[in-house]
Amino acid sequence: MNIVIGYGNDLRGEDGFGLAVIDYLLQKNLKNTKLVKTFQLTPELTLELEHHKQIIFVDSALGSPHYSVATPLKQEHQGYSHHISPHTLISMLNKLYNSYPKYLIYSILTDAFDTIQDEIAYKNSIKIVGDQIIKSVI
Amino acid sequence: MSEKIVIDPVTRIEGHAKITINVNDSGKVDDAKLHVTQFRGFEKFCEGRQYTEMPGLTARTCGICPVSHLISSSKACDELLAVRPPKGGRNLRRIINLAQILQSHALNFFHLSAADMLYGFDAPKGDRNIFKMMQTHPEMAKNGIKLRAFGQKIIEELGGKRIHPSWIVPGGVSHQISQEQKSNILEQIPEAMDIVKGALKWYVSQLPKYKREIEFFGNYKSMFMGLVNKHGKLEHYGGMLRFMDWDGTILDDGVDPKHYQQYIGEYVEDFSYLKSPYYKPRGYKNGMYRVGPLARLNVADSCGTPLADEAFEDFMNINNGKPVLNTFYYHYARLIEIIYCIERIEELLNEPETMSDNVRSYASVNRLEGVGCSEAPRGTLFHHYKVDKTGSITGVNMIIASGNNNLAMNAGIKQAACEFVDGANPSDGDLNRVEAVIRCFDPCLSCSTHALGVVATKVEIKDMNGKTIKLIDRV
Repeated sequence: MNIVIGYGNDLRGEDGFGLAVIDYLLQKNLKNTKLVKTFQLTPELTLELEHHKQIIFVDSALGSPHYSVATPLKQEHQGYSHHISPHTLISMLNKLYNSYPKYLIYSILTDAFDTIQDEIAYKNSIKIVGDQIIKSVI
Repeated sequence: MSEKIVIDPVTRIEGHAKITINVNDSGKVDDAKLHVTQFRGFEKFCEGRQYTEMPGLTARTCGICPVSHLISSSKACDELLAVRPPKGGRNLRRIINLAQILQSHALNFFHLSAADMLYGFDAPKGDRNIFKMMQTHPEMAKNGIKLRAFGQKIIEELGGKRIHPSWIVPGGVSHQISQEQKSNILEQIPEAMDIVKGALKWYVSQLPKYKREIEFFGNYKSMFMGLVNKHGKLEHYGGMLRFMDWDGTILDDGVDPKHYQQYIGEYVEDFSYLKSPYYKPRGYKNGMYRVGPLARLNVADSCGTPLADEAFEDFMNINNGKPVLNTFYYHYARLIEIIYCIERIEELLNEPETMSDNVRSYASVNRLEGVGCSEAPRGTLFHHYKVDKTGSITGVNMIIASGNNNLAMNAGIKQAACEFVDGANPSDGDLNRVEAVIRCFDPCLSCSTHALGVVATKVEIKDMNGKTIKLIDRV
């Protein structure tokens, strides 16, 4: 079973990219794939993730060139507060639940956190990432 | 030459802050200040919006305690409508508010603060965190996750989603809950209670190791403020305000929150975006009071539920029935409140009115001003709105739970810095102690400045001329 987690805030422009991708995937009736929309990653998500074989995170990240789709291989440690990074979640799954899922992170690079700057490019990015995820889960 | 130590950012809190410690010519700490370095301005940009939007808008003040804002905001809107929600609606609001408090307390205790007690304040920086806990005490880390998930699940069951649910509305809640939802919550209660009882037992067993921290982590005379119900018992949703002095003298009781401005003044310091509320009759600074779990237990005569009252009795014995002044015991109070929340959620779910389909009162604007008040995880929360006849917002004032504690947090870090920090050679463990005072209060700084900011927690050391001589990044 796969799980795709789109996270961000759709009131903050392109920060809502992950949520938009989930909306795109919802139209595709994917089998064996759970779709989750959330504002931020929180520790208790581990309980939802522990039995999945593959986890796909979808987010937007500060960076350029705009609308590039990136899959960071490594993230800086972000510390631990009320929200956490994908890597921290995976680490919790490994250490606390002996769960070692395959995981992927798709991020769109942007600095537009007030509005969607280019609707066409943004929608195209949603399609690219969405279609890539579909390939990953079937 | 005097110097300044800067701790920036302060870690394991929500929001962004730095601490400056002023060191005098002889290397002793003179003063310490908490600087909240973010700003948002909700009070201003809400002007001109319809009052019906306020719960949804102000909930965005925070991703951690949006439910608390929804509750106070909706209560302020109830006042504008001049309605009282039906009992079913009030009960459901109470349940979701208690769930919010429970999940927030669980995260603070298990995942942000317990590491200091597990490994000691002088443990290597890399060990004082959840990651080390996952290695050495995985069950404790998992218990924290389970307990928080329990609270979040209730919020999701009732509100439809975990963050920013739109179910709490002016006049009550938008819809009733089902028997299935009720059962889903009730069946998780025994495990949640076992977890918190175990955590309280462990916490109490650790206290003998931390006598010095208990003594110097913000152990001072201050007033306390919180809501109590008509029987003087612990209250988080309704009730009246009680102000209590450090020795247990009740200064004001039965204060309707809508009159808060007669009792609470708000001062702005130039070193922080966080307002400094104070008890007006005593004036700025002398009017320092504390809110939150410790204050709520201090001002209440009892909790009002069996297991919480057992723990409450032990708690009040700490200072022979007088208010507990040690900020270190915020954690103690937090765990007792979790027990209370679980018991009270069960009681409320089993009240017949809770399952009623009459959960909302309807009206249009009948008053031009309304104040909503509730207890958030970190303390008493006020939303105060003014509207015109069309319901358009003309004025907003919010006093956020963590903001009430601003003077107290500053007093706490000053005491800890003076006691623990060697100005000439500050150790990491001692700076951690200064930060840990802040963690005892569990401030939500994004909330309390209604802020939009950049993460920062730094300690800055300045000389007597204000020149920074050392900047310590705590990330």
